[in-house]
Amino acid sequence: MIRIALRDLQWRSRRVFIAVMGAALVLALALVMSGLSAGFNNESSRTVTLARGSGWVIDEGGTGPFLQPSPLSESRVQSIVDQVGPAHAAPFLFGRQSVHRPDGGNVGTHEHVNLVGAVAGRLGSPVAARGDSVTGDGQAVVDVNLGVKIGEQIRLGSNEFRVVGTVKGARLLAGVPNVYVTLRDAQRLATNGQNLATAVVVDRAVKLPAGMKELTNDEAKVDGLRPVVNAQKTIAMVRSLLWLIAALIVGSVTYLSVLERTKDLAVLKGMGARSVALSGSLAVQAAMVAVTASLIGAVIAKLIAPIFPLSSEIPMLAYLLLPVIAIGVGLFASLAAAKRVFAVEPALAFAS
Amino acid sequence: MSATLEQPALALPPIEQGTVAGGRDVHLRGVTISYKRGSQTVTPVEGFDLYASSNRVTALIGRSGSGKTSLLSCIAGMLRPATGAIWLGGIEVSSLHGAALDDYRRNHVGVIHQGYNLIASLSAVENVMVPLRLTGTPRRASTERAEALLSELGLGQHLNHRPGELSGGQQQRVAVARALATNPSLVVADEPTAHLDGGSVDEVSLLLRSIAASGRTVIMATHDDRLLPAADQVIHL
Repeated sequence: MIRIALRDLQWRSRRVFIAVMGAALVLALALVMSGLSAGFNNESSRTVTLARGSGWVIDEGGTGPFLQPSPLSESRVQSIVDQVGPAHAAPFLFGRQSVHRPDGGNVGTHEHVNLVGAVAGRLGSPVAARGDSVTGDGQAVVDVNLGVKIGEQIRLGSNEFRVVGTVKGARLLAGVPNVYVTLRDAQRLATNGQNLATAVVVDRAVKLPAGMKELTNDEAKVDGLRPVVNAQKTIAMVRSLLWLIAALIVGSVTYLSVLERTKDLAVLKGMGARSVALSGSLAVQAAMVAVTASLIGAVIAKLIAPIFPLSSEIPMLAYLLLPVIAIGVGLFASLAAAKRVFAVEPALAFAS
Repeated sequence: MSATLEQPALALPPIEQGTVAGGRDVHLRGVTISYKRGSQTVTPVEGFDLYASSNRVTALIGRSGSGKTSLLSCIAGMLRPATGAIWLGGIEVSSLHGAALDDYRRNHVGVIHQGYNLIASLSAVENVMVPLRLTGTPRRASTERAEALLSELGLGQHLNHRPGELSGGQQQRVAVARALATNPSLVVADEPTAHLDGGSVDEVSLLLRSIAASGRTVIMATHDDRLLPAADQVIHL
């Protein structure tokens, strides 16, 4: 029976190829959409993680360390730092800044970056994945996505910085790269030199002074996602639709291919093939189509994901779910079609 | 509908539940066939009796729609009659269900379909191997048996050709080989000479005679008068 199923696939190879490629393309797009949605979460998550803290103390009127921040004065920051010591609490300043080459040229396609100011070597200041971390004013650690090499100069606002190190995937607000500088440099650029911070990063419990609140890392991640939440929902809807379309394609391909074989199946039934054996061979056929479409879809997704301007970070779970769902739908469709075919007596199936 | 026998009517042995009514003879009593076609119920055969002995070729003839194919399908276990009983030897075919029916189709009956109904994706030898593999015959033995049958039928040079690469007569012979592959006691042939020229008709006549001569029961449906001399018994529907 399996051999007959394989021969049939071979026999209808052109039709099977077209159907598989169609399903694979839709599955690839579904994967990329899943990657885009995951990318938003991951960039916010990494930005929070790179700060190396466990909590974020902000003004009670603010939503988080990144958006709509109500700046904290030096004295309010100091009241937190004094409680747990400078090794466990450090000021953090987040803002937006224009970016250029020293000669005024563009830095890739980027016009703006997320400016992150933190005290060198303390919480909030990331450890560079390549090169060195920021140790003093005039230095910057940038996300690799900015496209600037270690040792090169960039201009933020009117100030020039030397890139001393890079971090990977440190982005926020839908793919905008982060640039990490000292707190003093960031204050010079973002607050006209005033000693302000948007949050205090802490890694142990603190007693909150009046007018301040503490966010967990998860709550801080949500803050980083706030501006893209509608885009994320839209992508999630498109992703769901693509998964549905992909499932319908796999399902309809397998369903129709079984119906197309009604006469052959009737011949086999007429020769005494058991329905269970025939259903098994149809299931194998459906699984092969589904797995092939999934594999090709995964390869296509891997190839086209970098083309998208937004970062598409396809989760491993999506890669694993892809064949499972495709096989599930394929099996269901083939068995539903088989049930319909086997309900008709072989002699009547010949006449259909 | 009752049968008209051109040859002297055969005495029908009584059928009682559980008794064996003769080795390879086929016996139909009071068979009515009824099925749905779209929204309409079609009843091509009503109250039909038949006795077909082994070692003989029985021909069912009649106009289109007279129920020849339906009768053969019922005898082959591929269609259930609305009423009546069908026996092959001691097996009451019309009462078989599920695995027992599959077993009957697999082991006792070979069918030469109208239009051949070969599986287009399989080669000639693979088509003939299908019923053998279904009976559990090992692959090597199935291949040898299929190749031998096809060679005997003059298709030794076309073993690996697909049906689409064979002429009508060659496809017909593949269908015959497939029907005979498992050595069934009953062979039913539906319009075995449709679309064949005179020479091929003679070949099929000889073939059916030789199948019957080997001790099998052969029942064919035809509207081809050229085939009637091959029949021992002709029944008009």
